[in-house]
Amino acid sequence: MSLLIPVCTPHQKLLERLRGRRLVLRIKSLGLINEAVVLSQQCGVQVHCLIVAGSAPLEDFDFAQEHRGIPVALFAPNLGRFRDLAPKLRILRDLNIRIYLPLDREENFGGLRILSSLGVPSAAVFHNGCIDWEKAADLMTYALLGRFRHAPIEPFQYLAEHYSGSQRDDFSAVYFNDATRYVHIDEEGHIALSSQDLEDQRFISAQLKDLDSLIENDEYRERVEIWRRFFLQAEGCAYCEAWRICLGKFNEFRDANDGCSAFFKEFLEVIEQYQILKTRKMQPWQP
Amino acid sequence: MSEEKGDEFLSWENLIYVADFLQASGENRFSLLGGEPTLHPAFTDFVIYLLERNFDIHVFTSGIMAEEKLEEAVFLARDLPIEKLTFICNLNDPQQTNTSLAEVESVKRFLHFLGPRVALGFNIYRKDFELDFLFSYINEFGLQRSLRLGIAHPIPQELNRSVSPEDIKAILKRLFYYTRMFERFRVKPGFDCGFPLCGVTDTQLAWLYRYTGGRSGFACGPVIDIGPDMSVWPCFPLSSFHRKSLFDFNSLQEVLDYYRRIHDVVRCEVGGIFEECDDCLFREDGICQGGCIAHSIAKFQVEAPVRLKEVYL
Repeated sequence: MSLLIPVCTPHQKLLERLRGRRLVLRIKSLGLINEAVVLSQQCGVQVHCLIVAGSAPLEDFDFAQEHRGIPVALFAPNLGRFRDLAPKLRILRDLNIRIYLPLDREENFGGLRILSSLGVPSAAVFHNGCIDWEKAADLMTYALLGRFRHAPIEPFQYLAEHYSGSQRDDFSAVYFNDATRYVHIDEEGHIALSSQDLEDQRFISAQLKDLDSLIENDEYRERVEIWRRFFLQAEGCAYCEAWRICLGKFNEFRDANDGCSAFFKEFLEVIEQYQILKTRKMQPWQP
Repeated sequence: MSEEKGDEFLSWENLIYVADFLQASGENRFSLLGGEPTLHPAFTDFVIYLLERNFDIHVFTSGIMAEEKLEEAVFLARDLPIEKLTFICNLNDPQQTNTSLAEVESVKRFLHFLGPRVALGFNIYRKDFELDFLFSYINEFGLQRSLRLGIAHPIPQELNRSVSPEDIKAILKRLFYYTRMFERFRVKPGFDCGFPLCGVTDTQLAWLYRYTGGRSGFACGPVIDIGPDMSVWPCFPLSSFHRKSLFDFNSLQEVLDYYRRIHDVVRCEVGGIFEECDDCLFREDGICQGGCIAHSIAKFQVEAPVRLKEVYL
């Protein structure tokens, strides 16, 4: 059986076809968590994570103690009024949840820090190139080198933990868009390699039965190795030393100042510092 | 939280940095000052956040605030232990300063709603000051039975209204006229920094010791203010003196050590606010610090530049 984790909606017939697998389920609200979990059990699938994508600010979500232990990725546009969110923080900290906020809203640079400093794991969503890279660098430095303990902020923590220095690393998995780990499936069983592909109906296969043999599919391999195309042109990302952690994700949004390049170069330096600090141990005197 | 001469407000990012900095330094007290901190658009949210971080919060306020802000403050304070959120309200004598009726009413409204959480403060800047109205407020609104007393010190190179060293003894003499009032209203006086020990007699000192349990001191040292732009300075009168960035330090102790060292250099040049401070045994033993260091620094700025470079702005 393929190790790829399907991301889909909790559609009974689809789940029955995916029996025995580990899945990521997309649901519309936190109120549907129980229903999705029960359905998964009935259909014999294991829940890897639930994705809740809401359009309301985080303060509007109703979190419940009964959801403790269920892995949730909650996408919200912003925090909302902090005073209205604050009474929910105690429950929020008890849940196995990560809050995703987009960086194209300036308030979310502060929002992510607030959540992290209060012990709530979070993730910055790089929607497109509309990012204040300097602020993103401050956030990344805070996430990895902040002087007081705080909850992780992704994708910074993910890369800091996974980066080895000798190979490329892709942080798309944080957003369920790493095709070597996740595939996206619609109710009819069409398979896409990213959430965007699914939305645009760019499928790699129209048949669910291809799931197990997908990694042998030439088109799949080509997509997974798409990063190679950057080195066919002797310009831009091909010359960026930080390419190995961004993999050209912001190529089409690159501005004249190469803001993304400066950001990711700084990111590499901070990761190095982070890893040194993490592995530094007390060295007693040596005989 | 806000710059007095500008409109820059403390950002969330900087607030979180300061909170981290203080907690990493083992500090659990967070004081919010201004300007007027309650004017910050995120004041209520900041307080809620800092409470979530388990700080004890002290808000220095004039007590003059819009009804909506007051409602927020009352809402914040409900169900909270007093020590988690305290307001230090610095008041001026309404009669001596011709305070408008609207402002007086606003202050009274504030004291009425937040009484037990409010400790009064009073800055003395003239010899004929009156404290009666403060006792009256403490009694009427059930405020905390303490009164923080400060002297208006000079701000080097600024023409602020301050008390000259020659007047400090007269001010202290007047202050001790109120000993009976302090006792009758059970209000404990607390001396802010910059009071010289030689300004009080042994009898007054004995009363002070007996009445406050020796909690009033004669100190002058860095207390550390942090601006919205993360600049740091040793105290309000020295807000232009050796300003640094908080990012230059790793802990609060480092900041305090930095400014203590500069204070020591200043005191090598001049012992204190009086000439006698130079040979004073009490100052040498650290029982008194020789009054506010801002007096000496203000003088250095207008004399020939012959002293150690650290003493200049």
